[in-house]
Amino acid sequence: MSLPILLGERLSVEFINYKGLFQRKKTTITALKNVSLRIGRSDTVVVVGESGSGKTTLAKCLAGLMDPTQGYVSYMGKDIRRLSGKEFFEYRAGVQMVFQDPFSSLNPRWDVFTSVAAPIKYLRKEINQDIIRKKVSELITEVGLDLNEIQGKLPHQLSGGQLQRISIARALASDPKVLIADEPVTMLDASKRISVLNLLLDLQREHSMSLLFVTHDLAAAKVMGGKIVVMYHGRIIESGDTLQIIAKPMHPYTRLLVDLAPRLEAGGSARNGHDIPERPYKGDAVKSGCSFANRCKFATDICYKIEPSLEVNLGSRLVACHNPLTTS
Amino acid sequence: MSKLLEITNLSVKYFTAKKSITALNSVSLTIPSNKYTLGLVGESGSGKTTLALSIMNLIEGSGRVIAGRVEYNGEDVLSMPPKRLLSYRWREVSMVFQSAMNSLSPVKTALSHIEEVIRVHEHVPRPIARERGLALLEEVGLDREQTNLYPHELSGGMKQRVVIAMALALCPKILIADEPTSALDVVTQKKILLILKENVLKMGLSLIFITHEITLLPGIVENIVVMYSGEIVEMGSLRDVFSSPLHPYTQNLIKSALTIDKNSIIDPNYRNEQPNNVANVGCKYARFCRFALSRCWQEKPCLRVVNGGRLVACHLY
Repeated sequence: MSLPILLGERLSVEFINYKGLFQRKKTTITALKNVSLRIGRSDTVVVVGESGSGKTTLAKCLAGLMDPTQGYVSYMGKDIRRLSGKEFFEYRAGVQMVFQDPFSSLNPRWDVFTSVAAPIKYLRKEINQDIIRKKVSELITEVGLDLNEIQGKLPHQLSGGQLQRISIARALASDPKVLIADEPVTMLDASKRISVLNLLLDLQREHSMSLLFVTHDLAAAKVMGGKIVVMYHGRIIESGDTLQIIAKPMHPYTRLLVDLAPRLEAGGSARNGHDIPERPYKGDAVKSGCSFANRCKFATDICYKIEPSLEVNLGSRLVACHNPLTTS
Repeated sequence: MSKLLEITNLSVKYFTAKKSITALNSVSLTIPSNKYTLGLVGESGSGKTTLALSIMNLIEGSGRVIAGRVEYNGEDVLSMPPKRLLSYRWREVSMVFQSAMNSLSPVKTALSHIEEVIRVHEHVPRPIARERGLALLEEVGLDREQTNLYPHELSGGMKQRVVIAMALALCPKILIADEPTSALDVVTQKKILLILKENVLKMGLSLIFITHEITLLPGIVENIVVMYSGEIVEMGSLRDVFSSPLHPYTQNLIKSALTIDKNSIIDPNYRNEQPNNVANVGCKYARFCRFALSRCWQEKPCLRVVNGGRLVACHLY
């Protein structure tokens, strides 16, 4: 195996909440538990999970926007906490992120040109105005926007789709090796989503970047392809080839996601609303054992006692389940 | 099935200091009573919410109804006296607003929200209202102990259920749900929609479900109206429209929908060669349409019946 560009090794993140009189009561929320993820050159990795599953926390840790409680992130083989000043700049420029909400991720008082130029100035230390201007123009054209239409506009004058393209251009401005896209299409109109997804795939190919794509939508994951990591409750429960997993999920939770993913069959599913096992109120009902057990219809005694570890199943597939679905 | 709600040639404009924007352009729609389920789809800005607001007679501020009528059981909704309007809203037609779950009162429990709705409108004693509220909340899938929680203690999905229960509290004839699940994750979303549909069918109401995500509709509604730029471009049963969309816009909408069962998802070519400053008196979609004829630019297509009960506004048919 070649050296991964970005590696998260046994990452755990805990949030501590202080409650009660004089904040004496301490509650801990585990957002991420023992998650390892490697992103190689030109890889596409899709992270899927419902809200609260820790996918954004994982993305933020990898982008260096949040420190893990345990574990470490390494960039080009070096722990990011031990990088020298210059190397750290290299890491910042090399790992860029596109956020979910394009309306709040750009500076409202900068015109979009300034936003896209910022990484070139501050991360790539380019001071020649002509070069900056040329580069920004190229980027804006590359993400499919009309330069004359965009020039001098402030974020509030643009639509969500346009803003998300600007965010992508800004992320590309420092020539990153890894682009982390955190639910980049959920805030967009359904009809604009597919074109932004295709844009990401095209850009990934042209710039030979790696792409970490975070989503809750399996249909979007299917478009991206590559490798998939399914998260539940801060843990990775299944990972492997995206198309294979969607075709044949082995973890009951992945199966549930596949069953409920958007389809266009006119008849629709004949499911009864009350059959769908929803996340129980105040999540942590299961203290030990598998965190999905209380929603799982295949759960047996062992599921409530021992937490399943991520094990190899069917070649390259990893599944954390005591009773994986073998044939369906 | 009898006509319950009839909208004829409704046009709504929003005025700003400098210009006016047409949000609805001559829209006609009929909602029969009793278990009629309709999905209203279109991208943002297509006038879906404006249509819903005009059914409730809630167009105010910079908006103005320019022409047309909204009739409920033969009664003109747009000129209802304020007192009648109070009972019309919520008791005849109720609505779940977009992000309504954020408008729950932070100082009231889930149950007291429902209780209030029932007591204000029906003047029944508190114990009766409470009993009915409890039954309703259970119906939408809230446990008994959860009914006494405050909004900040409830999850998004549970708040959404409270809002749906409020809308159902007075047994209205029509329920309008405006993107009721857009902030929820996949599993909760599907579950709430199915619960909504079950209750609608059980209580014999008609449902108007507004969304921009066409993939949410199967299994929830039986009929579909596709809106584009303030106009209805296609109307028919969900089965027909999904299996053979007629209008080029609907075709693109379906082709570009992100679904898991399709092998390829086609990127609709939204940018046509046509410049956008050409005076366009014809079809609003002509600029983006692959099949646009010269006629499309000059003459507005009207909604016509084509092969068996399907309605489409396009010159191709």
